[in-house]
Amino acid sequence: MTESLQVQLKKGVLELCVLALLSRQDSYAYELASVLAEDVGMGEGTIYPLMRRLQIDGLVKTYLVESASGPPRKYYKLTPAGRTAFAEQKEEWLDFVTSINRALGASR
Amino acid sequence: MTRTEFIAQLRRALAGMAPKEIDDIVADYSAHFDEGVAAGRSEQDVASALGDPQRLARELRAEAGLRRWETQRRPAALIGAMMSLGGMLALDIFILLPLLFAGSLAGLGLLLSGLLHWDNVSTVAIVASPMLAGIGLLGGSLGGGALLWLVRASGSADLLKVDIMGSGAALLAQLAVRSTKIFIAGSGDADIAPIDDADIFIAGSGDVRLHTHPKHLNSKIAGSGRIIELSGEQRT
Repeated sequence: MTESLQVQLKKGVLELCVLALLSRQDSYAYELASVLAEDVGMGEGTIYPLMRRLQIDGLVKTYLVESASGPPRKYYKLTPAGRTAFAEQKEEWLDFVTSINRALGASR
Repeated sequence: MTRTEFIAQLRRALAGMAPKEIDDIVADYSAHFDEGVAAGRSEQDVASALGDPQRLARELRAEAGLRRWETQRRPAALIGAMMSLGGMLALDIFILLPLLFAGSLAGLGLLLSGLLHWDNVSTVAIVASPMLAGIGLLGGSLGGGALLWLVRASGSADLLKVDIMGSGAALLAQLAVRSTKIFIAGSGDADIAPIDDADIFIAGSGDVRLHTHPKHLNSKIAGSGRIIELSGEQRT
């Protein structure tokens, strides 16, 4: 796989991954970034532009939680619109993967 | 790269954005360093995992630019509506935009001067009505060509008075008014929806489409225009 294709793919699914993580539990950016850096190989820094966009689009909202180890943490939580977006994108992704797999299988 | 260097580079690369926005962004990345260092990583390690601050800044700026465009698109919805209605969607927006903008400004001027002449019109209701999209004067400056007069409004007013002198169309079916006085001297059509009274005078060839059954209908037709009472499903 060329690097640019991989980068494009990761960019495309990053939002879906973040929505998926937040659908399981609220989280803060550092934690989201660590998980995604490890699982998907994303640069940790890209989480912030994404979270700003999700917040402006009304898919997530934030609240502060006191932290033992320093200043309060900004937690992100899915809004109802965020849940809907997650369900839709998940569906789309699964459809996409199914058809790609079918195509790959057929070309073998 | 140290934390200080990373933040300084990021700040420099974000210059020009709203100061509050820059502060918010910097606070996010500072918190990231706090978390990383608290987890036992070095500043260099955190900085390199974050990536190039210049690149991140470009991404953040692009995000903000897109947003600005989206919010500014709203007043320009007027232009968009005119374009689509004029069937000019295919034309290059960069060529048409200045022309259309000038046209819509001229149109708005027309509308406002029109409002000042209307008696007993609840001007505020009309001006404030959010759907009031606009009037376009197209090609008016190019040898007095076709005058397209387009009013689209929704909201409510006690009395609406509309004069159509050219070939414009008044789409006022969404505007719930008690009374409508309409005068058509040109070929423009009007869609109206008065509740109580309709006072219609057609001297031209324009049609008036009634979207309601007003209690009192007073009409005089000197031209070839007609009054069409729409049945339920034809109404918009």
